[in-house]
Amino acid sequence: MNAKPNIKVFVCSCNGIIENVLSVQDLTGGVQDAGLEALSHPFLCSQEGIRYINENTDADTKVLIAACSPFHKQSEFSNLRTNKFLIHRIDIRDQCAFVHKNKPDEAFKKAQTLIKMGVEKVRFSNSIDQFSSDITKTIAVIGGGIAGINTAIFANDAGLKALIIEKSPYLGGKVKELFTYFPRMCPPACGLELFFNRLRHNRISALTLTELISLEGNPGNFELTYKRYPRYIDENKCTVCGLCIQECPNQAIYLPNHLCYPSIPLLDRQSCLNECMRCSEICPTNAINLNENESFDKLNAGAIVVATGWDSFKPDKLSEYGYKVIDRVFTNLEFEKKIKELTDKKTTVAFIQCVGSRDDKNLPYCSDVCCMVSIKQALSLKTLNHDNEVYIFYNDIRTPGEYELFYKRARKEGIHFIKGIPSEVKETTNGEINLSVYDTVLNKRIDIKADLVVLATGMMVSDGTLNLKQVLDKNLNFNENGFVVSHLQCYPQDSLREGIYSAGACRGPMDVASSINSASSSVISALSFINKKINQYRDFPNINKEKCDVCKRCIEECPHNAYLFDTKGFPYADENKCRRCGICMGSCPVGAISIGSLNIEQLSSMIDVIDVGIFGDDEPLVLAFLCQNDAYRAVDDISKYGGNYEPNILTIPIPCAGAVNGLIVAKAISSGIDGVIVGGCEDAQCHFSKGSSLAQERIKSIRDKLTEMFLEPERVSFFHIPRDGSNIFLNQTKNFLRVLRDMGRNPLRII
Amino acid sequence: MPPYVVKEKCDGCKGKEEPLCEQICIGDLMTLDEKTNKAYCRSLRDCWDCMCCTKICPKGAIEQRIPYQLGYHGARLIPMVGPDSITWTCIDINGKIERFSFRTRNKK
Repeated sequence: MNAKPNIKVFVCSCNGIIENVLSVQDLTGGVQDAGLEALSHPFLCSQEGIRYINENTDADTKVLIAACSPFHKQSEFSNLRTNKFLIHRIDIRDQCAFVHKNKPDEAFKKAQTLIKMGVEKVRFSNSIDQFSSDITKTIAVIGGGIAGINTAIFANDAGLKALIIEKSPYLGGKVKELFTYFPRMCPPACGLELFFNRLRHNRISALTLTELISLEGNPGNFELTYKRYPRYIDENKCTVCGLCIQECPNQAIYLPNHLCYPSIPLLDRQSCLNECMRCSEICPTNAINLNENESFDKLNAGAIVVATGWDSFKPDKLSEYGYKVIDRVFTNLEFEKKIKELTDKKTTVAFIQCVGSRDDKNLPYCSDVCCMVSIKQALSLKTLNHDNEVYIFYNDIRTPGEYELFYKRARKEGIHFIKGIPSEVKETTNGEINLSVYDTVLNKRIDIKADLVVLATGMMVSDGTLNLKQVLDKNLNFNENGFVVSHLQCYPQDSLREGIYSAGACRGPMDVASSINSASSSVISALSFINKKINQYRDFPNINKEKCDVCKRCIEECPHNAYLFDTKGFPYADENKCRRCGICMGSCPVGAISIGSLNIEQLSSMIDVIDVGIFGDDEPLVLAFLCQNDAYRAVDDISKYGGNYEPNILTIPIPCAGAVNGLIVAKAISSGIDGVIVGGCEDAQCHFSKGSSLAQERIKSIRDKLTEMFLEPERVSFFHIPRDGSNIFLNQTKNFLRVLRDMGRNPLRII
Repeated sequence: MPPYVVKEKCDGCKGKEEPLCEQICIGDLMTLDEKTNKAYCRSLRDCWDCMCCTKICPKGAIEQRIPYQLGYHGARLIPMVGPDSITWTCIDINGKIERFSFRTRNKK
């Protein structure tokens, strides 16, 4: 005979609100009849209630609380002394007493069944300990553009160690090539210099000419391997005296920009043909070593911020604009350099907007900044010489927010805006450039002569991002345009993996202000991750090796790429990658995987205790597995709107729709339950990216099986229930129950 | 009579070297077609009709043709496996359906 299980059931009457519909005494009585200890309290979530539970339990008592929804009063119930994983809460208020108050008898039966199921759930629950891991308090920033620099500065200010990895010889990215910033029209040099000074001042290390080649380790303790290309000039020794620059016979040593960080000259080994070694001989500090080779090194970081920026769209294949055919046609980024060389001689400049952008064949999206960039450049031309003629050919001018004022200013300055994109850019015999355009405002074709043409090309994914795609593999999520995006609205800074964040234009087209903003958001996420990670529960998936057949389906279906093989060839989930979604639990064909908060044993024995005939022999009984992030809470909300549904539906919250295993659904149908609902998010909105679609795939194979068995496939259904989908649930279940009643009871039900 | 793999349903256990049917088959008859990435029975006449592959297939892609000693053409036997239960649907040559649910000795 087994010892009496250490399970205690607490039933709350919620100040009489539950008592009005259900008899709490009868509920506790039912549990006591089953040989378990049951207690009731009028107000469990009050301080007295919590004390009452704590007085009657010890640390390893398994506690079932039958009260309101498990998602209410979570902070109050977190004060219990029992291990968090031994406490389970079932809802006899919102989803029982409230919504079924017109049917108290059925509501009582439902509550009783829910309690019985809850008891099974706690019976097979296990306590789980916390563990702590040390975190490397370093943020590695990949990319040294404006976003990367600011990420490093913010991280340093927040008390972390920051480190920049930049592939090119200098920091500053695209911004250091710019002529002015909009809308204040100040030179980027000023802002950039301040940022560089802060880097210098805070001794933030920046590895230039460095490329990330592999990523190992776990969030909190990443190990990055990088390659350093030879620089030939020692950063620490060089004093920028300029002797080598003067002496080099091939001009292979130079300072490319007045704003160089690190501020040492660049030695171009390709141009340096003859091995004269003059520079290394002449250098007073012996900083030059022409025999330097590539080197490899490793560094450790707790978190990584990807700030690989953008590249300008190359309009080569758009032959109608004459790019690279006529030497006075530039892209807007090239024009930033060109504009510095212009004199105050009167010139006519034509800007063509949306080159390659908003075009399904090239960049399908709007690049966000090109309108502002063209207006900025046009205004700079006007400042240079007010007689300069400037034309801007556009589809739509997009200057959101206060940038609209900037556009108005351009209108006032006499810049010509022409609605229509030139169909042809051609050089005339007398050396002018002719643009023919259909002006959709005047409704006629016009020809404009210009000296220079600027193509407003958009921002596209950079080579750096594409290279990183190889290194980081599945850890980053890329959208169809190649940008690093995970969950755009709520977590724009997150990647698929904890500890890896993104900042700047690698997320999508953005201007300097937004880049700096994004830098701070990525640092805040990284910071909270580093602080949060110190304590966590060991509630990641557990694989029953007796059952596991090593089919590797869990490895394939895990959306976070968390699975690895242990030394004996069995899969195990990497604790740092796993997000406890339970999709592996749903995937396992033999039901060998369980996660900390839920396991197959629990679900299976919960189905065992359901009395299928509880509402009558011909009344359908439905089991609904609902995603606890959205669907379950939507069902919770029904009571708030005063809605009601039939009590025949028993709901079970699960971490993700993808956590429902086909075996469990098969068991439910086998044991005579008439219908099974799996409720999840819309595919694109799934919190664990693949869960919802995988769940539908699995439901489909069960339905196929049912059809084969000459059972109605409609008995198992997947519903898309978003967070605000209370009405969707009501309508869908109403139809579902009607269909079930029409088809009659499950032939596998034993009466 | 041998197992029949429904190609549309089989996903080759997501393309890993050994699908579940290959692992479970006592005669080592099931294997993966490298070109199509679908499972098949490589020696049909050696099959013992144990139906292990049918029961374990997570996609329900393997059907069993019943040997004529048990039922002529049209007769079918379909298992549905739960964590600790199995439900058999038996269809005889006249289309008569009988269903049996059992507890298995598998742990939940």
